[in-house]
Amino acid sequence: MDADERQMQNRQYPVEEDICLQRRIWRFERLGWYVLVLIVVMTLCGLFSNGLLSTTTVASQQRDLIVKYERFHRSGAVNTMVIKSHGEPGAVHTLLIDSAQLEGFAIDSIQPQPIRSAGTRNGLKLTLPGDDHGDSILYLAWRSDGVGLYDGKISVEGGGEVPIIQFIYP
Amino acid sequence: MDAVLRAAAIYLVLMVLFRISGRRSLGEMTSFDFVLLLIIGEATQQALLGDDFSITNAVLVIVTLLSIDIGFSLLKRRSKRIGKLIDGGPTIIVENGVYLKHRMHEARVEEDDIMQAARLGQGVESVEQIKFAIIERNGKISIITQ
Repeated sequence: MDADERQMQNRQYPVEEDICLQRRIWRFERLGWYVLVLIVVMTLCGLFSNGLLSTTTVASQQRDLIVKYERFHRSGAVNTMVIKSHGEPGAVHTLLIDSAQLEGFAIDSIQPQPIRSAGTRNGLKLTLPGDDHGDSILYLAWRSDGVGLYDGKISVEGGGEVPIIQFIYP
Repeated sequence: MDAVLRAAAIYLVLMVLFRISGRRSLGEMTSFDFVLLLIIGEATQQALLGDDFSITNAVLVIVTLLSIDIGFSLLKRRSKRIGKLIDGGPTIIVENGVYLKHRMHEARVEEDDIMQAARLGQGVESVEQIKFAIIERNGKISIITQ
């Protein structure tokens, strides 16, 4: 038996030790430090919102709808979404944000204000003016209300659609 | 329901995090550790209360935290093993004037920490005068002289 092993034997006096359990606790502590560092690194990478893993851009097949959003959210926090849409030049076009998105999130702010907005069975309809090329851009700030996975979609009426898959941490 | 779940989640997360940080950081607290604890308190406050700053919510959170705390203390009384898992047990780090280096390394305790505790508590000058130095369950180092 070497010196290290002798050191790690239980003593009964002046206190009763349980070194076997204590060694397990020390191992747990060490493992815990690695987990903490991993959490910090993953946070920097965007696993808990705002970062490489979280920020994403999706486009419809027709390229008439491009949405930049965060995959990961924290309940109660606000995140932005940028929706670039394309319609007939000089005319209005309508965006449809489906109800799955509205179940987990509340709109905190919307810029610019749409010409019309209406709540329908399928979700929220926002009518936007296009510029001379038919393009419009909408900035939305969403406050996360729910918890869990939300599988929604945004579409241009009569045009393309994009899936919006988001996860809200408690 | 929200208040109870929030309080229970924060209690358990803090318990695991403080277990990971080790007893060492609780027992030998520096002024910076104290500031760190205040910041941790500030960071958890919002998560505990959410957007609801009513007296009822505050009372519910406090009642939940105290209930869990009392529950754990009863559990610790019932089972010695669970008590040891939650609080750890005492560990001897100096025996008859000799440092138990392997244990000290595992517990992240330096020779200087032991001698500081020995000087503060017992007015001890050298390690040879120490019969036992023990890391107690609360993280403090207690000294028994020869």
